[in-house]
Formats: sequence, structure tokens, C-alpha cells
Amino acid sequence: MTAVPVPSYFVWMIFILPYVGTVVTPLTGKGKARDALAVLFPLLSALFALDLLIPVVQGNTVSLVNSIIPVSVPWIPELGVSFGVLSDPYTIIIANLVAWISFLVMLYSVDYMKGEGGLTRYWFFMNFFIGSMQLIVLSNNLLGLFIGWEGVGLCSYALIGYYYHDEAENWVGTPGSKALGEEQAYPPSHAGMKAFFMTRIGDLAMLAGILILFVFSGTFNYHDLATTTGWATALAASGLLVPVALLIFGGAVGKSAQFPLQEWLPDAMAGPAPVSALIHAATMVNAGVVLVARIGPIFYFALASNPALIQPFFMVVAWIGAFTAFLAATQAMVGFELKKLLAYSTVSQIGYMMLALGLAGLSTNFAEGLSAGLFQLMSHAIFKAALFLVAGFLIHLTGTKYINEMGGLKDKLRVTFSVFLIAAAALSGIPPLSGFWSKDAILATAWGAGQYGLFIVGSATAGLTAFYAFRMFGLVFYGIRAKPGHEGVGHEVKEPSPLSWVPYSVLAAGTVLLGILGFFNLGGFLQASSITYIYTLFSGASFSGLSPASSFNFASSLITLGFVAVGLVVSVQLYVRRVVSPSSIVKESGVAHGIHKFLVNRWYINAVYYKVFVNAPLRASYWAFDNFEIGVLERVNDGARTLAIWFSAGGNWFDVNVIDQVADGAARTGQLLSRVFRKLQTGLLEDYALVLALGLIFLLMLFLLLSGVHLPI
Amino acid sequence: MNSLSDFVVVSALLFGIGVYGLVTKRNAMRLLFAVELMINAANLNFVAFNQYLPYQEASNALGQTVVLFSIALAAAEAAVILAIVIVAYRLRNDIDVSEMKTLEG
Repeated sequence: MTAVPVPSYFVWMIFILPYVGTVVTPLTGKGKARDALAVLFPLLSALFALDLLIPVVQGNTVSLVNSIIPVSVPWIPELGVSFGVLSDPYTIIIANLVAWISFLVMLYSVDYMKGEGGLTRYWFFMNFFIGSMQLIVLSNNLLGLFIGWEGVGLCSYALIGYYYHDEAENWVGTPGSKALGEEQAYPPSHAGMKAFFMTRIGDLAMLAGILILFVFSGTFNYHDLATTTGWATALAASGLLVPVALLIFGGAVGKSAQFPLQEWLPDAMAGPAPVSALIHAATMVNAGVVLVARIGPIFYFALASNPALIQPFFMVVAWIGAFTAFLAATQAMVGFELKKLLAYSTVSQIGYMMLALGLAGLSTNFAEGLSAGLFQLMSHAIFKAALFLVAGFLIHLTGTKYINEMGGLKDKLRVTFSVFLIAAAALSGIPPLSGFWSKDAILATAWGAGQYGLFIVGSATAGLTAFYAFRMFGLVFYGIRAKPGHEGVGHEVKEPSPLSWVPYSVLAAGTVLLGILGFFNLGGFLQASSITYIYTLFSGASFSGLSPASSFNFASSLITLGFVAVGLVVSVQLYVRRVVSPSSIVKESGVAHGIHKFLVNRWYINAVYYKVFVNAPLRASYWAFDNFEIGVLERVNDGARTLAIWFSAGGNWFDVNVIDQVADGAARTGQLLSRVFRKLQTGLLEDYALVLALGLIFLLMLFLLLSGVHLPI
Repeated sequence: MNSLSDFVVVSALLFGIGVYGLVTKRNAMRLLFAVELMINAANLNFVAFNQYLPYQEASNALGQTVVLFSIALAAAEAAVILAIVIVAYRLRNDIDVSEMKTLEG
């Protein structure tokens, strides 16, 4: 392993270039030049990222050489805060993932978004989104991460609410559907706000956590946090260690849509499909994973002498991840909105990542869980981006967002069909595709750590995942068109333009490639990268237990594959071969009907949130309006108004009789004077000349008189 | 003859005639002439006083030099005034200054 020198500005460029694109794109008018530029900047950024990836793939490390922009620049000298970038393999791999998927999504957008209004706004926020995500990934301190974090939040709000005119076809959910009396369908602008507010709850917790950490450690820098341990001891002594870690984790719960803040993501589907792809695959939801991957090792190794103190934190992370994975997977098994199902699936898959990161702290080899999380992030990002891009195309093509109205598209869309099949198979964890390896790594880690409870939840969820993935697949591509003729005008069922199918085909190829690399110990490579990352963070420290271990575990793989097989077979029988009609089962059996209703209504969590956090305050405010506003404040207002009228009447009298008189008097005097003096201005030149001459003579006389000179004549 | 007071008297007479013209005449051209007379009265003073300076300073011919500038300025001024008069004539068909009193009080 050698350190390959790379100029430091390469790393900066990765997140600066999309920001430059953000600013430049709106300046180029409304033509092809704008679209081209908007795609160009992410591409350039991705090429810079690729430059850094090459040494990493070759098994080397990157050592940054200060050039143009140094590795670290002073930022807030008063607090000793400087801003720098990271270049360890872990970071570089994530940055590449973000950069390349973002680029493909942008490329896809060119064709997909053609003709939409407000495209400049779209490009602006997309580039801003990418730049902010890269800032999160590359920043070497929590403060920089927080700025990117908020940028991502803003962009998600703007892009989810992209169709802010709230036309009926852009709503998410079926208008009129209710749970517990709460409306379950939302217009895009509402969904945007929902995303913003729900993630904001996590953000506030995170900010509080970061600031408490700063109070104790005096630094935001990961490396400084890792190499000084005094803060951890102090935090542990005051009993704040786990709470602070959990507060920071709260940010990740919000952004990565984990329980209990998972409800915004399914409704974030109101945005255009490429936005969903970007949110789910490349940017927003991975931010939380990055955050945990940053603070996890720091908190874990900060108290290397007594790791039991921080165990509860990792336990919470792992269980939230596992529970979210299960919760969202069950929700994905019902319902018909294609993108919403994919959203549930994202929540579930991110849950796996959180599970992996939690397990890292519960097992003896931290790198195993950390790398499993990274593996899952990679494989999920790629196949989920493919699924969303395909979904966007299918929705445009068929003119409906419901998969039960699609159907029978298999024969006419060979490319799209293959891509969807590959991505769905990867999502299900079918070997040898990428999803199998990544999920297997996580579950093997759980098994190895002795966390059988977590293992069983994760493993069973894999079965559910296979079921819902192939349910979608079967409903979209098999059977007959339930509602043919839904196509928009001029659309026939055929493959899209290359600008659309190339991006998702590339992503499908990536899924297959990762799967093949899985045979060649990709897991081991990621573990080695994670270990390098940890050692870079701690600069030269040495920890026991950190070694690339084979995470393959025969028993766990077999059990998981068993679950997957069951899910797969049931799903194929029901939705591809259609042996029995699932809707008739739901109709006939009371229990099945109950479960179905429970799942469709998202376990009623969303409805309860709306009841408690949205409508209860609303009702309280209406009550306050009726009783307090009208009853009390209105009367005070009226009194104040009457009083004010009295006062103003008095004031008016004073005004008219005193002030006006004074002003009028002054004016009248001026008028009088002017009537006299204006006569002087006769306008006759000779008058002026005469006065001039007389004045001259007068001055001359005066001068002579005063000086006492006697004229000589 | 040729004492300083002679020149000054002539100059004063010229100036007086200029003032008289300026006060009594209404034709813009006449006014111009009157002003020219007054300027020349001043010029005459300059030349005369310079001539009666002590020899050393008289040889500097400072007064004469000033008068040259003054004549040049008077010519420029005459040109400007003539231009104004022509414009006034075009606008009003008349150069009687007593009629030009739209700004009176």
C-alpha cells in the first residue's frame, strides 16, 4: 500500500463544481446551453472524484498535496475552527457513488424533464443538492457537515414541492383516502413542507448534540475529536455520552427517514422521478448514514478502555435500523403507487445500513459493520437509482402512477424490463447480485456479534423485501393492461430515448458488476478501506480486533436465502403467474383484510402524527382563535380603537386650530411679502441696467467718501 | 495734454456713454454696442495706467497684455451674444429686449 500524491484542490472541486453549476446555470438563459451546463458540472465533479478513486481501487491511499486550495483552510479563527476535506478510501468511495449517480440522474433529467415549467429552478436546486451532499461527505468537521446538511434539507423541500401548482396528477396518495379520519393524500407543496419539518426535528437534535460536543471538546473536527479523548471521559462522567451521541444520531434519523421520523419519505414522492432517484440513491437519505459512519468510530474508540459505556448507543442505532427495515418492508407489501412503494423500500434498505452501523459497535471488529453499511449503501444506491429512473419512465409512458393499472409491459419494453428485473432481484438479495452480498455482510455481522434478535428481524425482512420487489415487478410487467389507453397523447408503448434508457442501463450494469466483484472479495476490500479510514481518523493509533475478516457465514446466508426464497416464490405465484388473486384473499379473510388495512394505512403512524402533531395544534389554535382572539383580544382591540379615536379627535382639533393656523399664517405672510417684492422683477433689461449703474455710482461715492480722497478735477 | 487724467476722463466718458446706452436703448444690438464701449473704456484704463508706471515695470507691458486677452474675450462674448440675438430673432421676429420679459414677477 503506497500513498499516491494528489493535488488537494481535486477534493475541493468535487463539491465546489456543483455549486458553481448552481450559480452559472441560471445565467445561461432557457435553452440547450443551460441544460448542457447543468449536466456538465456534475460530470466534471464526478471526473475529479474518479481521479481519487483510481488509487483507492488499486489498493493505495491518497495523500493530498496542498495545491491551489490547501487541505485545510482557517474558517472561524476566533474558535480555532478550520475547514478541510477528507481523502480516506471510505470517503472517496461514497463521494464517487454520489457523484456518478448524480451525474446519471442529471443526464436522465434532460429528456425526462423536457417541457416542464421552471426548469431553471430545477437545475439550480439539483446542482445545489449534489454540491451540498458532497459537502456532507467530504467535510472534515461537523460544522461543515451541518451546513451541507441544511443545504440538502432546503433542496429537498424545493424539489419535492417542485410541482407547487399542486395539480391533481402530481399528488402523492389517492385523494380521498383516509386513516383515522386523517387525509392520507398530499399535494406536492404539502409534501415538501412535510419533508422539511420532519427532518428539521432531527436537525435540531443534531445541532444540539454537536454544540454540546463542542462545549466538551472545543472542536468540530473529526480528527481532533478522534485523537483527543478527554471530552469523552468528561461526557461519560456527566452521564451525557450516550444522550449526546443519540442527539447527533437524531439528525441521521431525520435525514435517513428512520423510525420515528420515517413518514416524510413516502410522501416525498410528489417530486419528479429524477428528484426521487437523487434523494433515495445519491444524496439525502445517505447523509444520515455518512453522519453515523463519522461519529460512530469516534464515539466507539474514544472510550476504547471501556466500550461498554457507549454500547447502548449502538444498540439503539441497530434496533432502530432493524425495526425501520421491517416496518417499511411490511408497508411496501401493499398499496399500488409505484414510487411510494419504492420509497418504503428505501426506508427499509436504509434501515439495514443503520443496522450495520449499529452492529459495528456491538461486534468486536468495528470495521466489519462499518464496511457492511458502506456495501449496502453502494449496492442500494445503484439499484434504487435504476428503479426510480425506470419508474419515472413507466409513469410517463402509461400516464398512471398505480402499478395495478400498468401490467403487460413485458414484451414491448425489453431493455426496461431487464433493468427492472436486475434491480428488483438485487433489491431482493438474490445471488449473485450486489444486494445479496451487501445484505449478507450485514446479517453475517449480526450473527457474528451474537445479536440473534437483530439477525432474525433483518433476515425475515429480506423475505418481505423479495416479496414486495417481485410484486411490483409482476404487476408492472405481467398480466394484461388493466386500464389501457391511459397513455398520454402521442405515446405508444415503446422504449424511451437513449438519454433515458442509457442512465438506468448503466446503473443496472453497475449492479451486476458489483455482484460479480462480490465473488472477488469486494467485501474484504471495503473492510480494508474502512480500516484505513479508521486509522486515518485516529492517525497512527492501533486498535485490537480491526482486521479484514471474511464476513461470510454459511448459516446466516442459508437462513436468509430461505426467507428470500419463500418471499420470492409466494410473490411469483401471486403476481407473475397469478395463480390466485390476492385481492380475493384480502376480501374473503377478515384477518387478511385487517392486516392489509393496517399496512396500507402505514401502521397508522402517519395518521397518529397528523392527529397529534398537526391537527391537534391546529385545533388548539382554532380554539384559541375562537375564544381568546375573538373573546378577549378583540374586545381589547375595540377598546383601544375607541380610545384611539378619541385621542385622534383631540389631536385633530389641535391640528386644525393651532398647527394649521401657524402654517397658514406663515404662508400668508410670505404671500403678502411676495406681492410687494415681485414688482421689482419688471423683466425690463434697461431697468436692471439702470439699477446696476446707480449701484455702481453709489459704491464709488461711498468708497470716495470713506477713503477721503479728493478728486483731482 | 497727455497727462493720466486725460486718459481717465476719456475712459470715464466712454463708460458713461456705455451705461447710458445700456439703460436707454431697447434694441439688443445697441445694447451689445454699449457693452463693447464699456469694455473698451476699461481697456483704455489698463493701457493708460501701464504707461504711467515707473520705467522698470512699464516695460513689462502687463496692462497691454491683459487688454489683448480682454479684447479676445470681448470678441468671444460678442459672438455668443450675437448668437443669442439671432436665436431670439428667429423665435420672436423681434429683438426688442423690453418685450422679452416672460420671467417678470
